[in-house]
Amino acid sequence: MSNFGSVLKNWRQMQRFGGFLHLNNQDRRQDETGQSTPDLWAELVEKCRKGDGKAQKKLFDLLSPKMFAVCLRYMGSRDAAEDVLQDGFVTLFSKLDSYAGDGSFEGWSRKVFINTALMELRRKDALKMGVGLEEVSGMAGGGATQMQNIGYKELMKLVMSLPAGYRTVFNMAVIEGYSHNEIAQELGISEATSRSQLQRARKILQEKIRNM
Amino acid sequence: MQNDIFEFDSMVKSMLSEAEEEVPSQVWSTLESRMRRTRTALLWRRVAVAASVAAAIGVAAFLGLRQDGNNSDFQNIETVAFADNPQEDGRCGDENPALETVKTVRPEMLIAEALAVKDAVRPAADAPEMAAVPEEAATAAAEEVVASSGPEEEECALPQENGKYAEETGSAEAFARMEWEDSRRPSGRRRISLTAGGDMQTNGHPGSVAQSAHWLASSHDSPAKTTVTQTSTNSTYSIPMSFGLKVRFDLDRGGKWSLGTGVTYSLMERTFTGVYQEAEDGVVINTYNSDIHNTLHYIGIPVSLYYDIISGSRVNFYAFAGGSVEKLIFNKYRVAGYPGVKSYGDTSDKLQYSVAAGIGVQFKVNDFFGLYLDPSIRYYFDNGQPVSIRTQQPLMMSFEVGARFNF
Repeated sequence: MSNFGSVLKNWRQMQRFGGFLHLNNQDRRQDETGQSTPDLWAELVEKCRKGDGKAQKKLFDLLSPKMFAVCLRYMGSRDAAEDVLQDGFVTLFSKLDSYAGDGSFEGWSRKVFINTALMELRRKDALKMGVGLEEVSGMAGGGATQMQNIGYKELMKLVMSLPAGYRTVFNMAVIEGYSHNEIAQELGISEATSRSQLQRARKILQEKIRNM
Repeated sequence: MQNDIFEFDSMVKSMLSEAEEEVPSQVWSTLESRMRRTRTALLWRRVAVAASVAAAIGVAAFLGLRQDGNNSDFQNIETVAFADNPQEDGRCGDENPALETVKTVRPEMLIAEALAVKDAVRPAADAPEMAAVPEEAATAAAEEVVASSGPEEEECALPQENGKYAEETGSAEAFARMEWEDSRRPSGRRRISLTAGGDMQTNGHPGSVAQSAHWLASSHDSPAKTTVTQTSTNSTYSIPMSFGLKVRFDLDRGGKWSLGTGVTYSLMERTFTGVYQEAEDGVVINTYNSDIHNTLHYIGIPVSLYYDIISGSRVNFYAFAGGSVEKLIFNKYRVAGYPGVKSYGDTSDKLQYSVAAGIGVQFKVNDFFGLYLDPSIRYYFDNGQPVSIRTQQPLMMSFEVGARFNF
């Protein structure tokens, strides 16, 4: 059985290890009166636009756990992720007027934080597409994966441990759903480089999962 | 194989896309402090813009009122003074026949002018150009304050409509137009500062004014006009003073270079012994020998380039150089000691230019407020200005102090 097949076989076991935390979010997005999510966001956004401090705190409480996870995935360290989280919220609060209301506010917010993270990575000149092919090829093949022992936290750590360039492409392509053309434009690389970076990221992750 | 890759990606995505992490408590407190500072800075920025616009409107209105005022007293005024170094630059007014006032004359022209009367003072309404300058310049400075938002913003390339989250937002294009402001970031932020201050200049060694000759004799061929003539070689000059509001904004991310502009008001006074000759209907009716008090009011627009030499947490040292363009808005002569004698005033169409350079120091009280001291050397170009400390001592030391608010 292929390595991927081993992983898939234990997919259901991975779910038991807390991978689907989003189920809890649905409850938290309703207030005490049972107000629906879109209305709650609209009300909060409007209050935040007016500078309501309490509304800003509430918006922070609702968004920050998920956005912090996004920042961790992109930045690779908690300190950097905290900085990006703060910068992202400053930008978000200042750009609320540009949210037209079409589309989900959470999706719009996610873009804000992703772009903030990318800007920080560019500023640090961290988006270097490193790791030679010889290292990647050395990871090819191997035994059965230990996916049944991998939970969300372990997977997050593995993604955070990827080199910045691979990590960014992997996050944008696999989790955010960007096309390689979009990634190439965003990062200033070629589509071929984007594809190869993604392939290398998958192989590194696979190797690390197998070795756990 | 491809199916396996797709399944792997889907599995990872399902675990991480909606994941949440516990946020450290200090994140919100730090964020709250930053936003509070940003709100304060935004408020002060709006105050600065409003103050600049109000100052510009006030200057324009003042100049407008001056132009519309009753200038009948100015119609027949001729002010004559003498310089120790007659210039070839047309200060005599020969280049501009419409110039209402002869500020200096060559000695060889005195006799000729004694027989011919110069043109009357042009009404101030004919000199409108300066009215627009402070308003335009200050408005431009205010617009710069509003528009300035940091270095080149980066526009993020958005996923196309077939991207995963593009279909959720439906506003990829709107998002792509968002401009990322580096002013929100702790590093690489461009500052804007508003300063309010005043300066005093040295008045120690002014040049003398040459004494006049028989240049007040009325001509049988021309009607006499009211004149004010200095008969003493020296004047007593008060310390020239200026007050102004300036805006200074960084030109680079590092904050080393910055550009400042604004609006300034300057006041100069001098007292001299002279002759006030009052004429009415072309006939001299009174002549007074008295001390005459002359007050000059200027409105100007300074532009300076600043370079931060040392930027510390509490003290900044910087060098600056620049210039100023000023317009005489009011030049008043008041005859002392004679109750009921009118005071007369005139203006000049020409602008006064000056250049300056100096070293400044700012003491930071906190991130937003500091006190500064800017000693400098300034040189004033005459350009047909009435006699003042600036024409007699064009090179002066200046000491400007004030408060600076940083945003």
